[in-house]
Amino acid sequence: MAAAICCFHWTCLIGTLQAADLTAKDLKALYLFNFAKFTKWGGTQKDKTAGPITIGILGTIQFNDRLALIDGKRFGKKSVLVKTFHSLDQARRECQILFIGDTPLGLSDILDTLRGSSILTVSEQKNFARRGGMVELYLEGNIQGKQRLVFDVNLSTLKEEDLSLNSRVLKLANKRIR
Amino acid sequence: MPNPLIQCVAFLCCSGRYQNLVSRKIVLLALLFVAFCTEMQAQEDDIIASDSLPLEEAPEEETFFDPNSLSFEDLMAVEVTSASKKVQSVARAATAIHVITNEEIRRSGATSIAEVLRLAPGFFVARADSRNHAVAGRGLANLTTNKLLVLIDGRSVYSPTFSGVFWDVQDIMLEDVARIEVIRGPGATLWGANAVNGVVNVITKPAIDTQGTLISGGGGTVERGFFSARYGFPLGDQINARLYGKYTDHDSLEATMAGPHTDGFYRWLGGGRIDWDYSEFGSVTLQGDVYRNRQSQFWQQPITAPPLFEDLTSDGTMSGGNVLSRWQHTLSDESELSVQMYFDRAVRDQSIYRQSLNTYDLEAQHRFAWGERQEIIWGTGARVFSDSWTRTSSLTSIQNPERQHELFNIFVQDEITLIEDRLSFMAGTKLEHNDFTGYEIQPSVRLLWTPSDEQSFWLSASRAMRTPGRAEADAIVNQRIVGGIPAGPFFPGIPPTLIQIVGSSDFDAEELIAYEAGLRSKFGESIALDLSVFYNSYQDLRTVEAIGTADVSNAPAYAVQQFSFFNNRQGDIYGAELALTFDLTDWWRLRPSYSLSVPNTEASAANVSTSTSDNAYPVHQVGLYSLMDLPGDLHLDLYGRWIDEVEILTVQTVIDPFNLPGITRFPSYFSLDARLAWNPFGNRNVELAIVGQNLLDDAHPEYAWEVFTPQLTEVPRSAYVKLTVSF
Repeated sequence: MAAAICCFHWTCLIGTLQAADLTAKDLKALYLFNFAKFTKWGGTQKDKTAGPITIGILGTIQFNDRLALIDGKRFGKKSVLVKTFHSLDQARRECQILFIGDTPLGLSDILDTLRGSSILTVSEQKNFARRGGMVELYLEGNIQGKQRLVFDVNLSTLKEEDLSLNSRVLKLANKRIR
Repeated sequence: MPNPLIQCVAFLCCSGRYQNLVSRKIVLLALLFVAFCTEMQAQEDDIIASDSLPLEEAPEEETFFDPNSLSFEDLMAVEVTSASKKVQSVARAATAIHVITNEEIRRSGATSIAEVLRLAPGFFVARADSRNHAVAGRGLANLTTNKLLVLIDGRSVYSPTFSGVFWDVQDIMLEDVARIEVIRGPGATLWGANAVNGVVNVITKPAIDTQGTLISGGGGTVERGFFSARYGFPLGDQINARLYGKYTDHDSLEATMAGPHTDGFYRWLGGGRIDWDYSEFGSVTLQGDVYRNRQSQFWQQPITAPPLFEDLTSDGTMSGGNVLSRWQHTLSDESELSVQMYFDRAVRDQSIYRQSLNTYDLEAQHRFAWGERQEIIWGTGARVFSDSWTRTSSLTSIQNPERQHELFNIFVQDEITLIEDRLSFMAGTKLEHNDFTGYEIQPSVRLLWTPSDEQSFWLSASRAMRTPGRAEADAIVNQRIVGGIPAGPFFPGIPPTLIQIVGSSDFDAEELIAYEAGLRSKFGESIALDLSVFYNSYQDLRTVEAIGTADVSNAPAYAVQQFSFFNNRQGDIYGAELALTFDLTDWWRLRPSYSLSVPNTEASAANVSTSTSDNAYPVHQVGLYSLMDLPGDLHLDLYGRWIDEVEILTVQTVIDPFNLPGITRFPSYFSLDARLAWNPFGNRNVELAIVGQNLLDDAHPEYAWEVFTPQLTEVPRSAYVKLTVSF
């Protein structure tokens, strides 16, 4: 709540009055786009991010039909490509962001395989960030039944993989896990 | 390896989509064919796509949707229920704040920052001529309203010389403004002195949100021609930049005095911004602007020969620029540091004076959580003003033509959460030192109660000071020579008398103690209400009083009667502001507003020729803003308003030799602006708009200069067309 109240006088983050018709599914796709926009890749990905940013989808997800909102879209001179993968090895080779959906593979196996690949991992699985994932998306509700899509980030995994999220985005995170 | 066949088909698809030459079926067939070709290609390049699945074909609206059009912050604010819903979060601020969004700015048809502020409920905006506006909140308006603080990206544009904002040089690329936060009432604890009756915070978009090219241009009857262009581009990894330029050619408004007195202007400005985002070292912003403004002017200065005044009509040139850098660093989850510095130079070069002013500013702010329940913001800042007057006239001159003066401040505010998400209390104060009145202390306390996410109530009490400007301390204004009475056989005669206003180092700060309360509430999905009430108690308001008796050493040629500034006016102003939001349907939104400001101030000295009229601010103002999205990608926006009468002391009346109060009345008026926009391609990349302003009468007066010129201009009905293209 504190953050919502006029704080830094030149960057007042007061509840915006933007109007849009967006569902949770739309938001999940748009968040992925913004993660592509606001991530700086290091490590083995450093040279690969000159081209389009590939967002991989592993397993089945609920918002598959909303990916068209972001697929092929540009920000600045870069563009975003969305690709669905069934092979983790292939995903490891090709994408910069991987959204982990429902998959028979175990989460710890997936994260082990991805170690050292400098891929930004995103998932809705419970405790994803605490278990070594990077960005965990979830809906946070209030007593009126209204919900907002929020996310936690794991700062130490990001650091290990030589990834940095823009400070503007880090500021928006609900929890920053160390 | 591009397949020529795919390229050819893709071209066919595109041209079909845009020109409607090819039917949908053919487009679909073509797409299937492309998909087939891609599949074939993929099989040839065996490794690549063997395991990846193509995405379903996107509906047209999604193909056109620009995910950059909503910032991450916007998305985070979206409330989702199971189904799709409207977003309308209630601002949880314990202050009377109204946010004007980028969309509202665009759809208002306004072409300057001052005109945009007409959208803010409880604000009064009135035009005195083509480029000068009186802008005020809650009362005590003036052409340079001295109780309103205005910041553009954290840079104060309040003139420390004339105590007010020169709206003629405040321009910006309106398309790149993220939002304008308009705060009614005092904000001195955070923003410092002169944030007495309001604060306006213009915030431009970060460079990453303005990538690509935007070109707009147009022209019309009063807005003779305008053109602006912006180009945003990445400079490197996590470094983004934009450059912009803007040109405006503005015609004169309707002059009521005979003669070739015009007030048109042309102005160009340009600038840019670079944002460098680093997670470890925080983010760095570097931005700057330059401008030049050439304007037709008309002043009258006193002379001793009849008719005792002469016209000055040469053009004035206002120019300047600024550079600002800001570093924001997140030290930890709960701690954030921000350091900002800027340099600003403003030159006003006109026949009555030429002043150049350099401003140097450095401020730092730190916000951190203290324990579980408290959040503390504290900061400090210093600002140095250095001015130089290289021309004066018989109308205005200055003591100490070069002077440097400084401002130092330190502030702290603590926000204590009493009940999580429900009840919080804020207390803070600012201690500020200025060279004219010394230390000023400006505390405030606020209480915010949010019984539910749909409702909030707030209470506040605060003190704010309006500190004297350089002109009030050092300027000499030879206002006018009033005609004498020649000597007769039995009458010694009265010589013509020069009314001279001299600055005073004894003039003290004006004080406000304000009590405010507010309520914000949502009713269902489509109605929101924002109500605030205030009681402002003012002490030591400025008066203009005669000093001694007239100096007759030059009689019978002329005598001189000096006046100066004193603090002998006090009283109160109470009022209320109501703003409603009705989202009637998906395509029609209504925003009615009403504001009330009832003044009751009184001068305590007998010998007062007041410089500020109580009634220079309308008691009642009513506004109705309607935004409609019509079929065929048309948008119709209407802004109707009724403004109560105002009364202003103008040149002719202030000079009354017997100090009789004389006032020029500006009658109430009803006015309507309309804008019709068409997006021929269904998205905002191309927009053609036609705008009509002040449609309900041929011309009406809104405000006038209190000094320097007797000219009275009227705001005419006008129209312009505008084309905006972005890619």
